[in-house]
Amino acid sequence: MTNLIYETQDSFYEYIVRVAQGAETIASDLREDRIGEALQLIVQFSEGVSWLIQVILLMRENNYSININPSEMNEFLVEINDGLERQDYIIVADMFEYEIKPFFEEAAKEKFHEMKEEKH
Amino acid sequence: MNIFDCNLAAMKNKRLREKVLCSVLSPVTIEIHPSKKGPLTMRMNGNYLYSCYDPIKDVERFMDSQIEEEAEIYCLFGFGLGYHVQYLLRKERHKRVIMIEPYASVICKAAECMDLSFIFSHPNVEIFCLEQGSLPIELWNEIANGRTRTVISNAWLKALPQGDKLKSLLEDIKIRDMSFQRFSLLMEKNFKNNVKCADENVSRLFSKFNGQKAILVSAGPSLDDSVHSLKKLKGKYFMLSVGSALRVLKANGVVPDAVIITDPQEFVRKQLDNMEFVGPLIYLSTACHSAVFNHEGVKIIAFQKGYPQAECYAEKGDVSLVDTGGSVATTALDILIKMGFSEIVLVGQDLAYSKGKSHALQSTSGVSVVSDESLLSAIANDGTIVKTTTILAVYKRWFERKVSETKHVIFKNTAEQGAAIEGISFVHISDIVAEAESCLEYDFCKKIMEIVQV
Repeated sequence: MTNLIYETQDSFYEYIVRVAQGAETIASDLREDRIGEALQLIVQFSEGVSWLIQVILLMRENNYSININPSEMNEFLVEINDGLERQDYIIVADMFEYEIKPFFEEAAKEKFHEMKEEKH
Repeated sequence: MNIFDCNLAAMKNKRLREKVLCSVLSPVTIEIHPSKKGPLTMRMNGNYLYSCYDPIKDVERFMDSQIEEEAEIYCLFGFGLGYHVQYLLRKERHKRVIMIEPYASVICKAAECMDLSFIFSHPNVEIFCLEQGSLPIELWNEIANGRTRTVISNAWLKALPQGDKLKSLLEDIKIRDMSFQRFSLLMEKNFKNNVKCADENVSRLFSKFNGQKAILVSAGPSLDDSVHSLKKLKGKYFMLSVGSALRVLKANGVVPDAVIITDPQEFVRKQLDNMEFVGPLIYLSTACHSAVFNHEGVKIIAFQKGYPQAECYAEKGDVSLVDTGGSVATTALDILIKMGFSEIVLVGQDLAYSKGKSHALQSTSGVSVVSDESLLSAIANDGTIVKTTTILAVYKRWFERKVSETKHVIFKNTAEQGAAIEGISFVHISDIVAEAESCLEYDFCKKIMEIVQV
């Protein structure tokens, strides 16, 4: 079980770096009117972020925590969806470049640590 | 002199100056405010034209993707705050720039906020405001020639009011441009390989079916209602099916006389895989090569207008070009007209999300529609309102234009809950079947094989 936890955490660290890079690519594609390509990447981004959130929550259940707020990540998905429904790709591109990318660049510096049980 | 007066003094175009001075009422709402980095950004009809963080960097990236060395003239649509023109004048110093802005109020607002005298007085720039009147015909001809690069920002296009006359024309141009940019390498690769494996070109079939009738089978939701009747039309109507409808036809025991594919992407191969269709395959020169290669029946290539390699190849071989219209169905319609059919029936041509779906149930394509906030409304053949998308609306307009130019053909549409296409009356599939009972049987496949001589 412990091996599985560590392997999952390693995958988490590898993936979160790629999310930051992916956010920049999505922003570029949207700004250059490569909307089709951007939308495909956004689907992958959404799936990836959902997986990251799942890992954070499962790790908590196994007494591991990380200084990344999953609600903030979820909020990004909601705002992206709003922007896409309105087809306001400028706003979506701004979000990816100036909010999501910096968030994940900072998040990529964080590590899971074991939560110590409180002594009563 | 304030900024606005300086800008007016710099305007070479007197008519533009008068229009800007007199601009009052406008169907566009404009907001201009500083971006987070400082330079101004603009919102038109609630849509941002530029980044709220760094509009200058945003414009630079967009324009870098639009600049073409071979272009002699740039034609930009939408003035905004002049950032696109400004950047273009820096990067392409010696090239002519035509700027077309539908609304004088946009130029007026921009001129009130920033110094645009460099643009207004620049010898290489001509600014036309459509509220001044129409563009001179010579200018339209110049814009239409191959040496002009047309630049339309998607953000500006979205911000145009829905009823704007220019919007639909520019949407057509933009969608084609985006599609071409996205797939140009793939199309080139497909073209090189496709020309080698053709048995014949489609223009050999032109005018060979005069007086006959045809059905164009597309994969819209209404195909589910009509497919059961298609067996009764075999041998009476030439049945040309788009690739994505083949699975639905096979599931219902219907074998079309020919299948057509046009998309360059690999997913098209799945439309033909395991379908055991060995009849004629008509394919666009840039269509998915693996789908063409794997097809066991006769392969008939079509060269399209607007793709330079295809035009060049066709000219050398003295063959006719086809009008693609941007979709497989629009291409198919053009081919059927050229083949000489006097009546063309559309089956499964919904051009809308009828019944909350995009395609027939067993089609290889298809999504369910869950949110209709960004969709357009259209009147269906049964008088109800259906939802559709910008791109389906573009195809609908193509059909309508084509029909209005083709007076010698009778067109019929069987998609009861599909978007009504002007010029094509709705006819129930059962009426088509009833009419067909008096038609003589004809072996369309045999005729094609005789022409192709394979």
